[in-house]
Amino acid sequence: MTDLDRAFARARLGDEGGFAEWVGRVERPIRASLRPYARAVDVEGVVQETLMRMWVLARDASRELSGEDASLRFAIGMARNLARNEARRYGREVHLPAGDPPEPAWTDPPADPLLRRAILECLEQLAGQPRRALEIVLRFGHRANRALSQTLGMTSNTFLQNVARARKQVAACLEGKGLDLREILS
Amino acid sequence: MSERQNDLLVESCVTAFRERDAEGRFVPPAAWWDLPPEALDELYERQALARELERALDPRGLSGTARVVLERIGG
Repeated sequence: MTDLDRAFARARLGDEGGFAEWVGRVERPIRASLRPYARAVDVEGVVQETLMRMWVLARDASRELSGEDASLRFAIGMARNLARNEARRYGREVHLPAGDPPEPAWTDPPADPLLRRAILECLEQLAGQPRRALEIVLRFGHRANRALSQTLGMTSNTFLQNVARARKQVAACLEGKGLDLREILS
Repeated sequence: MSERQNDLLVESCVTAFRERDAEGRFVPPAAWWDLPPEALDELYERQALARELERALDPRGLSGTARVVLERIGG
């Protein structure tokens, strides 16, 4: 049994901590599996909906998933089905990929201490309003942009400009450290 | 659409925050509908990076996406 399977087994017992650990391990591969659907659907929404449904499935004693990392494989299939359904609902089928794209390669655990250290170093280099804006987004990014911009006393546009500027600086900093972000996040 | 406008529209969609409709289904941000295909590719890349930065700062290593979901199942 893998660490991923163990985390999902805890979620099946109603353990939210186990589910949180499982989410931390699967979010990146699920998102990467939706890369070919990015022009057809709101990927962020589909990832969230998939994770919500996996919590419901985990709590359903009548559902059995067998095989190593079966929960992740099932979640990726669910995510892509959701994406296709959403694309039809939005009338955006023309942007769907042809056939079923190959699943992305993934490694477990997803946390990379070297990447984390590099990110923290790059965040430290930010200054001024871009730093303030990005910091609040990273800590409270699950809240609406409008609320965050008001907290900082910025207009929505200024806030978004600062966040975009800061994120670009961090991306450039990471690439300056020799980190290929596209490869890391794929 | 100017590059700056496009940039702001993309940025406004990067957030993990999503409204839900009356049936509980997620609703894409209003700006998402106005983005051309190439901008949606750019949005994907920015979201992936944003979630990685959130994970790096979070004590439990959770992204904004994970926090939204855990808040919903906990609430």
